[in-house]
Amino acid sequence: MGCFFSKKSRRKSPKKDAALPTGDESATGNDLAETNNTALGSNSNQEAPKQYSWDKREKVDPKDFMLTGLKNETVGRLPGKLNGQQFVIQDCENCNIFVLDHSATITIDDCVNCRIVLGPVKGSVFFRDCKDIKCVVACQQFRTRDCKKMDVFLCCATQPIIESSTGMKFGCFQYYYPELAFHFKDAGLSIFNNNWSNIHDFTPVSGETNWSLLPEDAVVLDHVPLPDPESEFKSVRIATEAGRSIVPLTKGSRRTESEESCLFVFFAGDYTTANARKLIDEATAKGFVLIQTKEVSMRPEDVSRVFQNNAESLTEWITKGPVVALELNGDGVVEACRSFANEVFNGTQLFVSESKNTSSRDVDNFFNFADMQMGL
Amino acid sequence: MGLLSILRKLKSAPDQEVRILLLGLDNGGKTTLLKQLASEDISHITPTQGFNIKSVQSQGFKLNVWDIGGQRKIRPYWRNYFENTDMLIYVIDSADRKRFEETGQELAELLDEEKLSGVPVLIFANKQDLLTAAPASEIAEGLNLHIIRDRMWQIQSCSALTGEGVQDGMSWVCKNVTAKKK
Repeated sequence: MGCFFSKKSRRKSPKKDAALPTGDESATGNDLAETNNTALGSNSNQEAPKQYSWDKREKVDPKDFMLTGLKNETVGRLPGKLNGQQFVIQDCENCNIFVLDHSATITIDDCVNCRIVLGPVKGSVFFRDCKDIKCVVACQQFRTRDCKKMDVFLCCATQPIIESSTGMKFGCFQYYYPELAFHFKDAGLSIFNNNWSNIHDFTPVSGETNWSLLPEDAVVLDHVPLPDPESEFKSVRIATEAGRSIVPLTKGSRRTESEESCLFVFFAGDYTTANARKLIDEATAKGFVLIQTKEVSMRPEDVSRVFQNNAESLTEWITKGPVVALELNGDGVVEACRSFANEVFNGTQLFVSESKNTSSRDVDNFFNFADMQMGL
Repeated sequence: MGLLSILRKLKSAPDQEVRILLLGLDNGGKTTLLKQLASEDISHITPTQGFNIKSVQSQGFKLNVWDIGGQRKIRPYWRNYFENTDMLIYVIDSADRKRFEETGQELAELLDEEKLSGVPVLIFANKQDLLTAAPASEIAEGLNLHIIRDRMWQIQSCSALTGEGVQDGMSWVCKNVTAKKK
Protein backbone atom coordinates (compact mmCIF):
# COMPACT_ATOMS: atom_id res chain seq x y z
CA MET A 1 0.00 0.00 0.00
CA GLY A 2 2.82 2.39 -0.81
CA CYS A 3 2.02 5.93 0.22
CA PHE A 4 2.79 9.22 -1.53
CA PHE A 5 4.25 10.49 1.72
CA SER A 6 6.76 7.67 1.60
CA LYS A 7 10.08 7.98 -0.20
CA LYS A 8 10.23 4.24 -0.57
CA SER A 9 7.09 2.20 -0.34
CA ARG A 10 7.51 -1.00 1.59
CA ARG A 11 4.06 -2.37 0.84
CA LYS A 12 3.45 -5.06 -1.74
CA SER A 13 0.93 -3.94 -4.32
CA PRO A 14 -2.42 -5.68 -3.96
CA LYS A 15 -3.01 -8.79 -6.04
CA LYS A 16 -5.20 -8.06 -9.03
CA ASP A 17 -7.77 -10.62 -8.04
CA ALA A 18 -7.82 -9.77 -4.33
CA ALA A 19 -11.39 -10.39 -3.26
CA LEU A 20 -13.42 -7.72 -1.56
CA PRO A 21 -15.79 -8.41 1.29
CA THR A 22 -19.13 -9.01 -0.41
CA GLY A 23 -21.23 -6.03 -1.25
CA ASP A 24 -18.43 -3.53 -0.76
CA GLU A 25 -16.30 -1.61 -3.11
CA SER A 26 -13.04 0.10 -2.40
CA ALA A 27 -12.99 3.82 -3.07
CA THR A 28 -10.88 4.53 -6.12
CA GLY A 29 -8.69 7.56 -6.67
CA ASN A 30 -11.52 9.20 -8.63
CA ASP A 31 -14.01 8.47 -5.88
CA LEU A 32 -11.72 10.21 -3.45
CA ALA A 33 -11.98 13.51 -5.18
CA GLU A 34 -15.74 13.53 -4.91
CA THR A 35 -16.25 11.87 -1.56
CA ASN A 36 -16.89 13.42 1.80
CA ASN A 37 -13.76 15.11 3.02
CA THR A 38 -14.13 13.83 6.54
CA ALA A 39 -15.06 10.19 6.11
CA LEU A 40 -13.80 8.24 3.12
CA GLY A 41 -13.85 4.50 2.92
CA SER A 42 -14.41 1.22 1.18
CA ASN A 43 -18.21 1.39 1.45
CA SER A 44 -19.46 2.54 -1.94
CA ASN A 45 -22.76 3.85 -0.57
CA GLN A 46 -21.33 6.93 1.15
CA GLU A 47 -23.82 8.89 3.22
CA ALA A 48 -24.27 12.60 2.71
CA PRO A 49 -21.16 14.42 3.91
CA LYS A 50 -21.39 15.39 7.55
CA GLN A 51 -20.18 18.87 8.40
CA TYR A 52 -17.78 19.25 11.31
CA SER A 53 -16.58 22.44 12.92
CA TRP A 54 -13.26 22.24 11.06
CA ASP A 55 -15.03 22.04 7.69
CA LYS A 56 -16.62 25.42 8.35
CA ARG A 57 -13.62 27.40 9.50
CA GLU A 58 -11.40 29.48 7.27
CA LYS A 59 -8.33 27.81 5.84
CA VAL A 60 -5.05 29.05 7.28
CA ASP A 61 -1.51 28.99 6.01
CA PRO A 62 0.53 26.59 8.17
CA LYS A 63 3.51 28.92 7.64
CA ASP A 64 1.84 31.46 9.91
CA PHE A 65 2.31 28.99 12.74
CA MET A 66 5.93 28.13 12.01
CA LEU A 67 9.48 29.34 12.38
CA THR A 68 11.56 27.70 9.68
CA GLY A 69 15.16 27.82 8.50
CA LEU A 70 16.33 30.77 10.59
CA LYS A 71 19.96 31.51 11.49
CA ASN A 72 21.42 33.79 14.17
CA GLU A 73 18.11 35.50 14.93
CA THR A 74 16.02 36.45 17.95
CA VAL A 75 12.46 35.49 17.05
CA GLY A 76 9.21 34.07 18.45
CA ARG A 77 5.76 35.23 19.47
CA LEU A 78 4.69 37.93 21.91
CA PRO A 79 1.94 37.38 24.50
CA GLY A 80 -1.48 37.26 22.84
CA LYS A 81 -0.18 36.31 19.40
CA LEU A 82 -0.64 32.52 19.52
CA ASN A 83 -3.68 32.30 21.76
CA GLY A 84 -3.70 28.55 22.23
CA GLN A 85 -2.84 27.53 18.67
CA GLN A 86 -0.30 24.96 17.53
CA PHE A 87 3.27 26.05 16.76
CA VAL A 88 6.15 24.49 14.83
CA ILE A 89 9.85 25.35 15.01
CA GLN A 90 12.17 23.70 12.51
CA ASP A 91 15.62 23.89 10.90
CA CYS A 92 16.80 26.80 13.03
CA GLU A 93 20.44 27.39 13.91
CA ASN A 94 21.97 29.56 16.62
CA CYS A 95 18.69 31.33 17.35
CA ASN A 96 17.09 32.75 20.48
CA ILE A 97 13.43 31.79 20.31
CA PHE A 98 10.83 33.18 22.71
CA VAL A 99 7.27 31.85 22.46
CA LEU A 100 5.77 33.94 25.25
CA ASP A 101 2.19 32.77 24.91
CA HIS A 102 0.13 29.67 25.63
CA SER A 103 -0.28 27.14 22.83
CA ALA A 104 -1.96 23.82 22.02
CA THR A 105 1.11 21.80 21.07
CA ILE A 106 4.64 22.56 19.88
CA THR A 107 7.03 20.49 17.78
CA ILE A 108 10.69 21.42 17.42
CA ASP A 109 12.55 19.64 14.62
CA ASP A 110 16.16 19.67 13.38
CA CYS A 111 17.28 22.68 15.40
CA VAL A 112 20.92 23.19 16.39
CA ASN A 113 22.50 25.42 19.03
CA CYS A 114 19.35 27.33 19.95
CA ARG A 115 18.02 28.89 23.14
CA ILE A 116 14.26 28.43 23.42
CA VAL A 117 11.61 29.63 25.87
CA LEU A 118 8.13 28.12 25.50
CA GLY A 119 5.16 29.52 27.40
CA PRO A 120 2.62 26.99 28.75
CA VAL A 121 1.62 24.28 26.28
CA LYS A 122 -1.76 22.61 26.85
CA GLY A 123 -0.64 19.37 25.22
CA SER A 124 2.75 18.07 24.18
CA VAL A 125 6.12 19.58 23.43
CA PHE A 126 8.07 17.29 21.11
CA PHE A 127 11.76 17.83 20.30
CA ARG A 128 13.05 15.71 17.40
CA ASP A 129 16.52 15.53 15.89
CA CYS A 130 17.74 18.55 17.85
CA LYS A 131 21.23 19.22 19.15
CA ASP A 132 22.77 21.66 21.63
CA ILE A 133 19.52 23.16 22.84
CA LYS A 134 19.00 25.11 26.04
CA CYS A 135 15.38 25.71 26.89
CA VAL A 136 12.72 26.69 29.40
CA VAL A 137 9.48 24.74 28.88
CA ALA A 138 6.07 24.39 30.59
CA CYS A 139 3.75 21.72 29.21
CA GLN A 140 1.46 18.80 29.90
CA GLN A 141 3.70 16.30 28.08
CA PHE A 142 7.40 16.58 27.28
CA ARG A 143 8.91 14.23 24.70
CA THR A 144 12.22 14.00 22.86
CA ARG A 145 13.50 11.67 20.16
CA ASP A 146 16.95 11.54 18.54
CA CYS A 147 18.20 14.57 20.45
CA LYS A 148 21.69 15.34 21.73
CA LYS A 149 22.84 17.66 24.49
CA MET A 150 19.82 19.50 25.80
CA ASP A 151 19.54 21.54 29.00
CA VAL A 152 15.89 21.81 29.96
CA PHE A 153 14.35 23.93 32.73
CA LEU A 154 11.06 22.11 32.86
CA CYS A 155 7.57 22.25 34.29
CA CYS A 156 5.75 19.12 33.13
CA ALA A 157 2.40 17.86 34.39
CA THR A 158 3.22 14.25 33.43
CA GLN A 159 6.34 12.11 33.30
CA PRO A 160 8.84 13.53 30.78
CA ILE A 161 9.81 11.06 28.06
CA ILE A 162 13.08 10.69 26.17
CA GLU A 163 13.83 8.25 23.35
CA SER A 164 17.13 7.69 21.55
CA SER A 165 18.42 10.87 23.17
CA THR A 166 21.71 11.50 24.95
CA GLY A 167 23.29 14.20 27.09
CA MET A 168 19.92 15.39 28.37
CA LYS A 169 19.98 17.54 31.52
CA PHE A 170 16.92 18.63 33.46
CA GLY A 171 16.26 21.34 36.02
CA CYS A 172 13.17 22.87 37.58
CA PHE A 173 11.34 25.59 35.62
CA GLN A 174 12.38 29.10 36.73
CA TYR A 175 10.83 31.93 34.74
CA TYR A 176 8.48 34.87 34.99
CA TYR A 177 6.74 37.32 32.70
CA PRO A 178 3.59 39.24 33.67
CA GLU A 179 1.11 37.17 31.63
CA LEU A 180 2.59 33.79 32.58
CA ALA A 181 0.13 33.00 35.39
CA PHE A 182 -2.81 33.60 33.02
CA HIS A 183 -1.14 31.49 30.35
CA PHE A 184 -0.78 28.58 32.79
CA LYS A 185 -4.50 28.85 33.52
CA ASP A 186 -5.42 29.09 29.83
CA ALA A 187 -3.31 26.01 29.09
CA GLY A 188 -5.03 24.08 31.89
CA LEU A 189 -1.76 23.60 33.76
CA SER A 190 -1.14 23.91 37.48
CA ILE A 191 2.06 25.49 38.75
CA PHE A 192 2.03 22.85 41.50
CA ASN A 193 2.06 19.79 39.22
CA ASN A 194 5.64 19.48 38.06
CA ASN A 195 7.38 16.17 37.38
CA TRP A 196 10.53 17.74 35.95
CA SER A 197 12.93 15.24 37.54
CA ASN A 198 10.95 12.04 37.03
CA ILE A 199 12.29 11.14 33.57
CA HIS A 200 11.36 7.97 31.66
CA ASP A 201 13.94 6.80 29.11
CA PHE A 202 12.55 4.45 26.45
CA THR A 203 16.05 3.55 25.27
CA PRO A 204 18.31 3.12 28.30
CA VAL A 205 21.81 1.79 27.72
CA SER A 206 23.29 -0.24 30.55
CA GLY A 207 26.30 1.42 32.09
CA GLU A 208 25.50 4.77 30.46
CA THR A 209 23.28 7.65 31.49
CA ASN A 210 21.34 9.38 28.77
CA TRP A 211 20.00 11.96 31.19
CA SER A 212 20.90 13.65 34.46
CA LEU A 213 19.77 16.55 36.61
CA LEU A 214 21.31 19.99 36.28
CA PRO A 215 23.24 21.20 39.34
CA GLU A 216 20.96 22.45 42.09
CA ASP A 217 22.33 25.97 41.76
CA ALA A 218 21.87 26.08 37.97
CA VAL A 219 20.66 29.50 36.84
CA VAL A 220 18.48 29.99 33.76
CA LEU A 221 20.42 33.06 32.61
CA ASP A 222 23.60 31.00 32.28
CA HIS A 223 21.79 28.87 29.71
CA VAL A 224 19.09 31.02 28.14
CA PRO A 225 19.84 34.75 27.90
CA LEU A 226 17.22 37.48 28.11
CA PRO A 227 15.96 38.72 24.73
CA ASP A 228 18.19 41.11 22.85
CA PRO A 229 17.23 44.69 23.89
CA GLU A 230 16.85 45.54 20.20
CA SER A 231 14.32 42.75 19.63
CA GLU A 232 10.51 42.89 19.64
CA PHE A 233 10.56 41.25 23.09
CA LYS A 234 12.19 44.20 24.84
CA SER A 235 8.80 45.34 26.14
CA VAL A 236 8.16 42.07 28.03
CA ARG A 237 9.28 42.21 31.66
CA ILE A 238 11.05 38.87 32.08
CA ALA A 239 12.61 37.62 35.31
CA THR A 240 14.60 34.42 35.74
CA GLU A 241 15.48 34.45 39.45
CA ALA A 242 14.22 31.37 41.29
CA GLY A 243 12.42 33.59 43.82
CA ARG A 244 10.37 35.27 41.08
CA SER A 245 9.52 32.05 39.25
CA ILE A 246 5.83 31.39 38.75
CA VAL A 247 6.51 27.68 39.37
CA PRO A 248 7.82 26.79 42.84
CA LEU A 249 11.42 25.61 42.74
CA THR A 250 11.46 21.99 43.95
CA LYS A 251 14.27 19.61 44.76
CA GLY A 252 12.55 16.80 42.88
CA SER A 253 14.25 13.42 42.94
CA ARG A 254 17.58 14.77 44.18
CA ARG A 255 18.77 13.22 47.44
CA THR A 256 17.55 15.00 50.56
CA GLU A 257 19.87 15.93 53.40
CA SER A 258 17.39 15.17 56.18
CA GLU A 259 15.32 12.12 57.08
CA GLU A 260 12.47 14.34 58.23
CA SER A 261 9.75 15.45 55.84
CA CYS A 262 6.39 17.06 56.47
CA LEU A 263 3.13 17.04 54.53
CA PHE A 264 1.31 20.38 54.41
CA VAL A 265 -2.05 20.46 52.59
CA PHE A 266 -4.15 23.53 51.80
CA PHE A 267 -7.81 22.85 51.03
CA ALA A 268 -9.51 24.86 48.30
CA GLY A 269 -10.26 28.45 49.13
CA ASP A 270 -9.85 31.95 47.74
CA TYR A 271 -6.20 32.21 48.68
CA THR A 272 -4.90 28.66 48.26
CA THR A 273 -2.15 29.57 45.79
CA ALA A 274 -1.12 32.67 47.74
CA ASN A 275 -1.04 30.68 50.98
CA ALA A 276 1.07 27.94 49.42
CA ARG A 277 3.52 30.55 48.14
CA LYS A 278 3.66 32.21 51.53
CA LEU A 279 4.41 28.89 53.20
CA ILE A 280 7.19 28.16 50.70
CA ASP A 281 8.74 31.58 51.35
CA GLU A 282 8.51 31.16 55.14
CA ALA A 283 9.89 27.62 55.08
CA THR A 284 12.76 28.23 52.67
CA ALA A 285 13.73 31.38 54.60
CA LYS A 286 14.22 29.10 57.61
CA GLY A 287 16.43 26.75 55.61
CA PHE A 288 13.88 24.03 54.82
CA VAL A 289 13.71 22.52 51.35
CA LEU A 290 10.65 22.14 49.11
CA ILE A 291 10.77 18.61 47.72
CA GLN A 292 7.57 18.38 45.67
CA THR A 293 4.10 19.89 45.26
CA LYS A 294 0.79 18.64 43.87
CA GLU A 295 -2.63 20.06 43.07
CA VAL A 296 -5.24 17.32 42.90
CA SER A 297 -8.96 16.72 43.39
CA MET A 298 -10.07 14.33 46.12
CA ARG A 299 -13.21 12.31 46.80
CA PRO A 300 -14.45 11.37 50.28
CA GLU A 301 -13.07 7.83 49.93
CA ASP A 302 -9.66 9.28 48.99
CA VAL A 303 -9.66 11.41 52.13
CA SER A 304 -10.14 8.42 54.41
CA ARG A 305 -7.43 6.48 52.60
CA VAL A 306 -4.91 9.33 52.60
CA PHE A 307 -5.54 11.08 55.90
CA GLN A 308 -6.75 8.02 57.84
CA ASN A 309 -7.47 9.07 61.47
CA ASN A 310 -8.01 12.72 60.53
CA ALA A 311 -10.36 11.94 57.67
CA GLU A 312 -13.67 12.78 59.30
CA SER A 313 -12.97 16.44 59.92
CA LEU A 314 -11.41 16.93 56.47
CA THR A 315 -14.06 15.35 54.25
CA GLU A 316 -16.29 18.44 54.08
CA TRP A 317 -13.37 20.61 52.94
CA ILE A 318 -12.68 18.76 49.68
CA THR A 319 -15.95 19.71 48.00
CA LYS A 320 -14.82 23.22 47.07
CA GLY A 321 -12.08 22.17 44.67
CA PRO A 322 -8.63 20.63 44.41
CA VAL A 323 -6.18 20.58 47.31
CA VAL A 324 -2.60 21.88 47.12
CA ALA A 325 -0.05 19.73 48.92
CA LEU A 326 3.61 20.40 49.66
CA GLU A 327 6.38 18.19 50.97
CA LEU A 328 8.94 20.14 52.98
CA ASN A 329 12.16 18.60 54.25
CA GLY A 330 14.72 19.37 56.95
CA ASP A 331 15.48 18.63 60.57
CA GLY A 332 12.68 20.05 62.73
CA VAL A 333 10.42 20.69 59.74
CA VAL A 334 7.29 19.14 61.31
CA GLU A 335 7.46 21.33 64.37
CA ALA A 336 8.18 24.40 62.24
CA CYS A 337 5.25 23.65 59.92
CA ARG A 338 2.90 23.22 62.85
CA SER A 339 3.91 26.60 64.20
CA PHE A 340 3.46 28.18 60.73
CA ALA A 341 -0.03 26.67 60.70
CA ASN A 342 -0.90 28.23 64.04
CA GLU A 343 0.78 31.60 63.61
CA VAL A 344 0.62 32.40 59.90
CA PHE A 345 -2.37 30.39 58.65
CA ASN A 346 -4.66 30.44 61.65
CA GLY A 347 -8.25 29.92 60.48
CA THR A 348 -7.19 28.47 57.12
CA GLN A 349 -8.44 25.02 56.16
CA LEU A 350 -5.35 22.84 56.12
CA PHE A 351 -3.69 19.62 57.20
CA VAL A 352 -0.19 19.34 58.67
CA SER A 353 1.62 16.18 59.73
CA GLU A 354 1.14 15.75 63.47
CA SER A 355 4.50 14.36 64.42
CA LYS A 356 7.86 13.28 63.15
CA ASN A 357 6.79 9.64 63.60
CA THR A 358 3.83 9.83 61.24
CA SER A 359 5.02 12.47 58.78
CA SER A 360 6.80 10.20 56.31
CA ARG A 361 3.71 7.97 56.17
CA ASP A 362 1.59 11.08 55.48
CA VAL A 363 3.89 12.11 52.65
CA ASP A 364 3.88 8.63 51.09
CA ASN A 365 0.12 8.23 51.42
CA PHE A 366 -0.65 11.56 49.81
CA PHE A 367 1.84 11.57 46.95
CA ASN A 368 1.24 7.91 46.07
CA PHE A 369 -2.47 8.72 45.84
CA ALA A 370 -1.81 11.86 43.77
CA ASP A 371 0.50 10.04 41.37
CA MET A 372 -2.02 7.26 40.85
CA GLN A 373 -4.77 9.82 40.32
CA MET A 374 -2.67 11.46 37.62
CA GLY A 375 -1.66 8.21 35.98
CA LEU A 376 2.01 8.58 36.89
CA MET B 1 -46.20 -14.38 27.85
CA GLY B 2 -44.41 -15.15 24.59
CA LEU B 3 -43.33 -11.54 24.02
CA LEU B 4 -42.22 -11.14 27.62
CA SER B 5 -39.98 -14.18 27.45
CA ILE B 6 -38.44 -12.94 24.20
CA LEU B 7 -37.72 -9.58 25.82
CA ARG B 8 -36.22 -11.31 28.85
CA LYS B 9 -34.05 -13.41 26.59
CA LEU B 10 -32.89 -10.35 24.67
CA LYS B 11 -32.10 -8.53 27.89
CA SER B 12 -30.07 -11.40 29.26
CA ALA B 13 -28.15 -11.94 26.02
CA PRO B 14 -24.65 -10.68 26.75
CA ASP B 15 -23.13 -8.06 24.46
CA GLN B 16 -20.95 -9.48 21.73
CA GLU B 17 -17.29 -8.91 22.63
CA VAL B 18 -15.06 -7.20 20.11
CA ARG B 19 -11.30 -6.93 20.38
CA ILE B 20 -10.04 -3.61 19.02
CA LEU B 21 -6.40 -2.67 18.58
CA LEU B 22 -5.60 1.04 18.82
CA LEU B 23 -2.27 1.80 17.15
CA GLY B 24 -0.37 4.75 15.70
CA LEU B 25 2.79 6.77 16.26
CA ASP B 26 3.61 8.23 19.66
CA ASN B 27 1.88 11.55 20.35
CA GLY B 28 -0.92 10.75 17.89
CA GLY B 29 -3.68 10.90 20.51
CA LYS B 30 -4.45 7.21 21.08
CA THR B 31 -4.82 7.43 24.86
CA THR B 32 -6.89 10.62 24.62
CA LEU B 33 -9.15 8.81 22.16
CA LEU B 34 -9.41 5.80 24.49
CA LYS B 35 -10.33 8.00 27.45
CA GLN B 36 -12.79 9.95 25.32
CA LEU B 37 -14.47 6.66 24.35
CA ALA B 38 -14.69 5.68 28.01
CA SER B 39 -16.03 9.16 28.95
CA GLU B 40 -13.09 9.73 31.28
CA ASP B 41 -11.28 12.94 32.19
CA ILE B 42 -8.76 13.84 29.48
CA SER B 43 -7.14 16.81 31.18
CA HIS B 44 -4.22 14.80 32.50
CA ILE B 45 -2.84 12.20 30.11
CA THR B 46 0.64 10.81 30.53
CA PRO B 47 2.54 9.24 27.58
CA THR B 48 1.84 5.50 27.41
CA GLN B 49 4.80 3.38 28.46
CA GLY B 50 3.16 -0.01 27.95
CA PHE B 51 -0.50 -0.32 27.11
CA ASN B 52 -3.95 0.67 28.38
CA ILE B 53 -7.13 -1.40 28.11
CA LYS B 54 -10.69 -0.21 28.45
CA SER B 55 -14.02 -1.93 27.86
CA VAL B 56 -16.68 0.26 26.32
CA GLN B 57 -20.34 -0.60 25.68
CA SER B 58 -21.50 0.59 22.27
CA GLN B 59 -24.49 -0.33 20.11
CA GLY B 60 -24.88 -3.78 21.64
CA PHE B 61 -21.18 -4.55 21.58
CA LYS B 62 -18.66 -4.78 24.36
CA LEU B 63 -15.62 -3.17 22.80
CA ASN B 64 -12.36 -4.24 24.43
CA VAL B 65 -9.96 -1.54 23.27
CA TRP B 66 -6.21 -2.10 23.56
CA ASP B 67 -4.19 1.12 23.36
CA ILE B 68 -0.51 0.29 22.80
CA GLY B 69 2.34 2.79 23.21
CA GLY B 70 3.66 4.14 19.91
CA GLN B 71 7.29 5.05 20.56
CA ARG B 72 9.60 3.78 17.83
CA LYS B 73 11.42 1.60 20.35
CA ILE B 74 8.28 -0.30 21.35
CA ARG B 75 6.56 -0.63 17.96
CA PRO B 76 8.13 -4.07 17.40
CA TYR B 77 6.03 -5.25 20.37
CA TRP B 78 2.78 -4.35 18.61
CA ARG B 79 2.80 -7.78 16.97
CA ASN B 80 2.33 -9.42 20.39
CA TYR B 81 -1.22 -8.02 20.40
CA PHE B 82 -2.33 -8.95 16.85
CA GLU B 83 -3.91 -12.33 17.68
CA ASN B 84 -7.73 -12.42 17.48
CA THR B 85 -8.08 -8.75 16.58
CA ASP B 86 -11.52 -7.91 15.18
CA MET B 87 -10.83 -4.29 14.26
CA LEU B 88 -7.77 -2.10 13.86
CA ILE B 89 -8.03 1.59 14.68
CA TYR B 90 -5.03 3.55 13.46
CA VAL B 91 -4.62 7.08 14.82
CA ILE B 92 -2.79 9.82 12.93
CA ASP B 93 -1.80 13.28 14.15
CA SER B 94 -3.14 15.27 11.20
CA ALA B 95 -1.13 18.33 12.23
CA ASP B 96 2.25 16.57 12.34
CA ARG B 97 3.05 16.73 8.63
CA LYS B 98 6.71 16.06 9.32
CA ARG B 99 5.82 12.48 10.25
CA PHE B 100 3.26 11.61 7.57
CA GLU B 101 5.85 9.48 5.82
CA GLU B 102 6.71 7.61 9.01
CA THR B 103 3.07 7.03 9.92
CA GLY B 104 2.36 5.84 6.37
CA GLN B 105 5.16 3.30 6.54
CA GLU B 106 3.98 1.95 9.89
CA LEU B 107 0.43 1.59 8.59
CA ALA B 108 1.66 -0.14 5.43
CA GLU B 109 3.57 -2.65 7.53
CA LEU B 110 0.54 -3.32 9.70
CA LEU B 111 -1.62 -3.99 6.65
CA ASP B 112 0.99 -6.48 5.44
CA GLU B 113 0.82 -8.46 8.68
CA GLU B 114 -0.55 -11.95 8.19
CA LYS B 115 -2.22 -11.97 11.60
CA LEU B 116 -4.14 -8.82 10.68
CA SER B 117 -5.13 -9.97 7.22
CA GLY B 118 -8.72 -9.05 6.40
CA VAL B 119 -9.14 -7.11 9.65
CA PRO B 120 -11.16 -3.94 8.95
CA VAL B 121 -9.25 -0.72 9.61
CA LEU B 122 -10.55 2.64 10.76
CA ILE B 123 -8.06 5.47 10.37
CA PHE B 124 -8.73 8.43 12.63
CA ALA B 125 -7.32 11.65 11.16
CA ASN B 126 -7.02 13.12 14.64
CA LYS B 127 -6.30 16.63 16.00
CA GLN B 128 -8.60 18.37 13.53
CA ASP B 129 -9.15 21.01 16.23
CA LEU B 130 -5.70 22.36 15.31
CA LEU B 131 -5.82 25.00 12.58
CA THR B 132 -2.97 23.46 10.60
CA ALA B 133 -4.36 19.90 10.56
CA ALA B 134 -4.39 18.25 7.14
CA PRO B 135 -7.89 17.21 6.00
CA ALA B 136 -8.76 13.52 5.92
CA SER B 137 -8.94 13.55 2.11
CA GLU B 138 -5.35 14.78 1.83
CA ILE B 139 -4.16 12.12 4.27
CA ALA B 140 -6.12 9.39 2.47
CA GLU B 141 -4.53 10.36 -0.80
CA GLY B 142 -1.04 10.59 0.66
CA LEU B 143 -1.40 7.16 2.27
CA ASN B 144 -2.79 5.68 -0.97
CA LEU B 145 -5.72 4.26 0.96
CA HIS B 146 -7.80 3.89 -2.19
CA ILE B 147 -5.69 0.95 -3.37
CA ILE B 148 -6.63 -1.16 -0.34
CA ARG B 149 -8.60 -4.10 -1.74
CA ASP B 150 -8.23 -6.78 0.90
CA ARG B 151 -10.30 -5.34 3.75
CA MET B 152 -12.93 -2.83 4.76
CA TRP B 153 -11.45 0.57 5.55
CA GLN B 154 -12.56 4.03 6.51
CA ILE B 155 -10.79 7.29 7.26
CA GLN B 156 -12.61 9.55 9.70
CA SER B 157 -11.53 13.02 10.73
CA CYS B 158 -11.88 13.69 14.44
CA SER B 159 -10.67 15.56 17.46
CA ALA B 160 -10.10 13.25 20.41
CA LEU B 161 -9.77 16.38 22.53
CA THR B 162 -13.27 17.71 21.82
CA GLY B 163 -14.81 14.34 20.93
CA GLU B 164 -16.07 15.59 17.57
CA GLY B 165 -16.09 12.86 14.91
CA VAL B 166 -15.20 10.11 17.37
CA GLN B 167 -18.68 8.59 17.64
CA ASP B 168 -19.09 8.64 13.86
CA GLY B 169 -15.95 6.56 13.59
CA MET B 170 -17.13 4.16 16.27
CA SER B 171 -20.48 3.74 14.53
CA TRP B 172 -18.56 2.58 11.47
CA VAL B 173 -16.61 0.18 13.71
CA CYS B 174 -19.80 -1.35 15.12
CA LYS B 175 -21.39 -1.62 11.67
CA ASN B 176 -18.39 -3.26 10.09
CA VAL B 177 -17.19 -5.50 12.85
CA THR B 178 -20.42 -7.47 12.43
CA ALA B 179 -19.52 -8.28 8.84
CA LYS B 180 -16.28 -9.88 10.02
CA LYS B 181 -17.73 -11.58 13.10
CA LYS B 182 -20.65 -13.25 11.33
